[in-house]
Amino acid sequence: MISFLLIALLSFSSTVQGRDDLQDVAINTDKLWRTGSGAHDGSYTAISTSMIAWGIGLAIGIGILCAVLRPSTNTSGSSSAHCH
Amino acid sequence: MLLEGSYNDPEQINVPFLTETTKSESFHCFFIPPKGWDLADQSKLSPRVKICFIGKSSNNLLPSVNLATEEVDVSLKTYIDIVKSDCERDPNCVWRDLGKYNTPLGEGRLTEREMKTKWGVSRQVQLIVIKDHRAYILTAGALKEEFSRHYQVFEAVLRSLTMTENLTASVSLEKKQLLQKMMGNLQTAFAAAIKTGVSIEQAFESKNFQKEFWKPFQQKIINDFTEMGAYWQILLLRDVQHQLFKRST
Repeated sequence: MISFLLIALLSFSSTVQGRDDLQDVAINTDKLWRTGSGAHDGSYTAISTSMIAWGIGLAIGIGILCAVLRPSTNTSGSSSAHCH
Repeated sequence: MLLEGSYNDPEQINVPFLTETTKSESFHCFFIPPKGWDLADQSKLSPRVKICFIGKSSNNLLPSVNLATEEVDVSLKTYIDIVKSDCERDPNCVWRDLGKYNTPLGEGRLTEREMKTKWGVSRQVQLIVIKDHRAYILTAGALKEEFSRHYQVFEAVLRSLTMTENLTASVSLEKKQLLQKMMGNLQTAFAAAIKTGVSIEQAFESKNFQKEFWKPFQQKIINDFTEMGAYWQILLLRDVQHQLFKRST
């Protein structure tokens, strides 16, 4: 009975130990897999910021165009009102 | 706004400091960006990218410099090998090792990568240094055909990469004394603002403290310490704010 319990205890603890080891391996693999992301992000940023900057330029351009068009639309609207 | 615009406007660089005051950095790693380049909005960048400056160009791909950091458990050689293999897996990327590069943080490695984009080929030089389990990656990039035009500017940026425990130590003796006096005055004013019974945050954000003390201090840093560059100015202002908060708790 005692020997059976000892075997059961040993096998249980080795399973737990095995799980922990596997988890450590998984964490280390994940860390290693992610290593280099700083260099990747730096490189990606060098390209993506251009898109952001041009997006801003485009938005400003559209904004200016809207601002120019709006008063002219209003003017034509008010002049037609005067005609009536 | 996606871009924070020119960094000589204190209103535009005020916001990030308030969100990062709880962070205490024992070492500051910074570089001096090219004059007149715009500061990219931090909220639109990867959290690993600490700062990014964008230059001007008539082409679609704008020149830029940025500093990224990453916690690592590997040596510089291993890190470089990982970066190389990452790039080699990408058919749009061509990677080259440009050799050793000495920096105040220690020996670094200068690398180059060319990336195909829809606007043309982007050429980037990356200076990679590892110090205290942290990789510092300074990237300077531009359109390949424009790269030689920016080369001197990029070289100056790479050479300016430095690390210091005390940001005020990087300025001249005369300016250091001026800076310490200004910081002392600010500390006294902040201590007086706290005595009114409000919280530290409320005291800092109060109209009177902002108008009479913080904004003039910020403006003085921006106007009188231009030689240190915008990144140093931002780090200093962030650090001073952190010190104000820390000493008041």
